[in-house]
Amino acid sequence: MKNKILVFVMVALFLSGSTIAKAQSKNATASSNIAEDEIQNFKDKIASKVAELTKQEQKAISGFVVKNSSNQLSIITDDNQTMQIKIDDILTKIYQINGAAKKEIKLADIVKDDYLIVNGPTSDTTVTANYIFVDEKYLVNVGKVTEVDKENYSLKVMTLDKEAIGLDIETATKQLLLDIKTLELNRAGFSKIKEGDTVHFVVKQKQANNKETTYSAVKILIIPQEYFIK
Amino acid sequence: MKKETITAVSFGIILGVIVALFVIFQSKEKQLSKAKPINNQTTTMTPKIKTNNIPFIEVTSPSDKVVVGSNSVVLKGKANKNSLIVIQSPIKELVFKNTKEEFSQEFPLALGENAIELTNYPADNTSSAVHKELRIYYLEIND
Repeated sequence: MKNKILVFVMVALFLSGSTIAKAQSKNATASSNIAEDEIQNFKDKIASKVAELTKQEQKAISGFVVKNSSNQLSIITDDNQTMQIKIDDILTKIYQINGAAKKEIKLADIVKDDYLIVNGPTSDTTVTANYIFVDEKYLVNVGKVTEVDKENYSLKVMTLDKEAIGLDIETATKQLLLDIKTLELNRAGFSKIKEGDTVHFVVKQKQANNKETTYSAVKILIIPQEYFIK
Repeated sequence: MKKETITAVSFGIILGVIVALFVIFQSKEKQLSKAKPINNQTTTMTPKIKTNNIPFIEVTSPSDKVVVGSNSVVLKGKANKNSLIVIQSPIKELVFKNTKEEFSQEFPLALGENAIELTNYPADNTSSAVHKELRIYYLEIND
């Protein structure tokens, strides 16, 4: 009887031991698979970060020229940061944008208050320019009409950011009115504008640290107040 | 082999298999509870805010101040459902009703800097409008 019990226990131990060993090796394989997945994830993350950084390099900065003398070119950006522009006489290309065309110009052609778009590697407050484009600066904003001057064809507007702006409506100003039923935009005259209407406008900014409060409107889009009270 | 020996061996096999299965399930459970993602991301519970009532507008693509090489982009973003969206730049204006929360609109670009203003007028008319400005540079820099 003792022998039988001994055989029973030995067989049981042997079987459970070998199965556990197999199970552990399976677990080890599973762990190695998890590790490979993690490494792959990590690689993917690095790749996407590199792609992101490459994309970031394709950004540009813009601002008004504050100085262009003795090979020193600097601009002031919208957020009032002064940036030094490094120019390479051979590599840096400079263009003047005129409508849909561009014309190559020289560094000496750039003057104070020109608006520049600069593309190239940026380090702190210095940009090593690959390309410089001289362009025009437009402001696009929206506000509520607070006053309509029918004699002088001008509007007073309070923007969403509570800034009071005057708009001169010229003959060249493109004026559009929203049809509140169809949401189509139709050409309209100055007489259609009322106090309380909402106006989306485009104006030109001519210099940095703009202290102008009245602009000549390039285009306006009127949303009649009736749209909001229907 | 005697009948008793065969019975004992069979019982031994059955018991061994039961013990082994028990140990496997235990170890698996332990491993699953210990497993952690490599990036240490943890699931956090964030309170759900009903965005329907708060006016918002966001642009998911393209990013601000990006340089592009073509004369149009697809503006993708999110805003309140059923709100009126106005998109304006010096060369184009678009007005549409945002039937879904997400929008996607092709928009032309002029050579140089493109200042684009996106404004959201919520449908309920009681909330104030919100706006977002985007600057995109269409530059021919690869010739």
